[in-house]
Amino acid sequence: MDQWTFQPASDLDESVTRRLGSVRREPGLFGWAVHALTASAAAGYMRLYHRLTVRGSEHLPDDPPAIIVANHTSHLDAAAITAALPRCLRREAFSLAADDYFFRTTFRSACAAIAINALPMRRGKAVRQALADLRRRMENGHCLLIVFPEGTRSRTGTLAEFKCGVGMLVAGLSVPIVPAWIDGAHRALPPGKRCPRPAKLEVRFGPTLDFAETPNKRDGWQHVADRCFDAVHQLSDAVN
Amino acid sequence: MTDRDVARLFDPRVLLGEPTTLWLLGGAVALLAIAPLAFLIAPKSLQPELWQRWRTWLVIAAVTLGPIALGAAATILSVAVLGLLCYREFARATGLFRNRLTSATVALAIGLTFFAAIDNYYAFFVALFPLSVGAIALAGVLPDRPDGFIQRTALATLAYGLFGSGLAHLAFFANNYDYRALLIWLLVATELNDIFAFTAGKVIGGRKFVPRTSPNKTLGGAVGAVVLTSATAMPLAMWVFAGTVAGQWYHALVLAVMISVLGQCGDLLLSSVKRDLGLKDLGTLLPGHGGLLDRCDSLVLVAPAVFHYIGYLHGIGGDETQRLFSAGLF
Repeated sequence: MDQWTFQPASDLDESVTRRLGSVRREPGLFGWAVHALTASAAAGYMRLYHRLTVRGSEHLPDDPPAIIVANHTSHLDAAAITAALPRCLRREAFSLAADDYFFRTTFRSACAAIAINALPMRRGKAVRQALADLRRRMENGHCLLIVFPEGTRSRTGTLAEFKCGVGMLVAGLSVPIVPAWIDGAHRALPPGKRCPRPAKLEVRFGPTLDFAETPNKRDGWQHVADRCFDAVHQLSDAVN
Repeated sequence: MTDRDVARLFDPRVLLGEPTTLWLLGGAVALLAIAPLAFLIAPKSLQPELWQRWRTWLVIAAVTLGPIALGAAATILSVAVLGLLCYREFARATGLFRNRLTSATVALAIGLTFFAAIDNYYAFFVALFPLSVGAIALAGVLPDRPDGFIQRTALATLAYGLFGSGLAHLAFFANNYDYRALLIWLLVATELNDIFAFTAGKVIGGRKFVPRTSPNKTLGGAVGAVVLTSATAMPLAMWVFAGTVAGQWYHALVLAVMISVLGQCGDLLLSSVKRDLGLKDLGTLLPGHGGLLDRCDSLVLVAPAVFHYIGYLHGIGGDETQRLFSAGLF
């Protein structure tokens, strides 16, 4: 008979408040149920208010782990991608959010963690450690990560260069990378606006990329960033 | 619901008519107040940890004794929250929480068991064990993933048995009108037993008891705890149960020995879980103590054993209204 293996929660050694702002956070039954509710509500809002359409769903894996890389022009982006996912993946989706904004206080951390299932992305000197923690998390499975490799929202709606961080996250990992293009979010809620307009949204997923053989060093990181950029850019050209 | 039921469930003023409870509460508060005096003789290096533990003890005392004083409804609700939090800690430590349907079934079963307790519906309370085990097994089947079925079902059944059905016996005590003194006695005796086991182990020492499961446990500590707990809990039991069958010296002695032996067994049980998982603590909720289970492990076996012993001697909840809430449902 095989030896049983146990996999304790990866954030078991962290206090309740620290857990909220931890990359290793694994939601329990309550957190999962709240996220399932908010994700379903977001999906309903996206379909009714923004008439969200989805193309290329066949490229999505059946189960986590996976990483979705997408363009970033609006605060609606993470919700749009989450809403575009099949229900079984939607519940497991985490999006990366700026640590210095979404996780500044315990209250904000609780909202970001429980309601939108965000994981903190540290900037500056802490970025390498944060990416290493995320890599470990992806290696252990149980996670579908939504990443915006431009690092910030595009002010013009055009695709900006991808940062090498995405390469540091995925180079050498045998996790499928799904490129995605979100169309219309910049018209609906561009940076600086507070109230979304009922603009039509479309999310297009492309064929998966694999960087399992890519070396986890500077050249490899740049290669990953360039390939992801090209894949996402191609999806934008699908209509334009 | 009669006035007597309302008073038992919701009226904290009943406490004022129970001198035994008031004395016990006063004693528990006094023990907590004078505990820091013992820190004076402890080595300086240990003092920060001792103070942290003491502060946590104050919180534990407030959230356990407070609801008991408030009424049976608050008592049962607080034990229900304790059971759910203990399950959460166990599920996170073992990874069972990732099997969401199984986990939700255990949480629902725990909720129903505590409903049976507050309803004073003993037949349902008993029936829930086999029904819950069946539901847990079914929840393991439905995702159509036979790999690991036995493991997740066995873990979930153990968790329900210990933190649902087991701890709910503590809540069911509140169906006695004079439950307060009984519960405070039980909790104080169980926690004193932990302290006696630790102290006797340090002072007497002796042969390692179960070195691979719990390297710090010694035979001297185990026997010392039984002697010291019996010496403390037995006279307290004779006082708390005065005028009833359980107040006889031999029943009081059996109850005290039961608390000591099963309290230590519960401790060893959770130690085995921790060793198997390779973890030092099962959580971080109680600073200085570890997780909630590191503090409540002794209660999981003590509660049902003491419940059934006292139940055998003079019943529990039999004099109060049965099926308080469910009788009107159908």
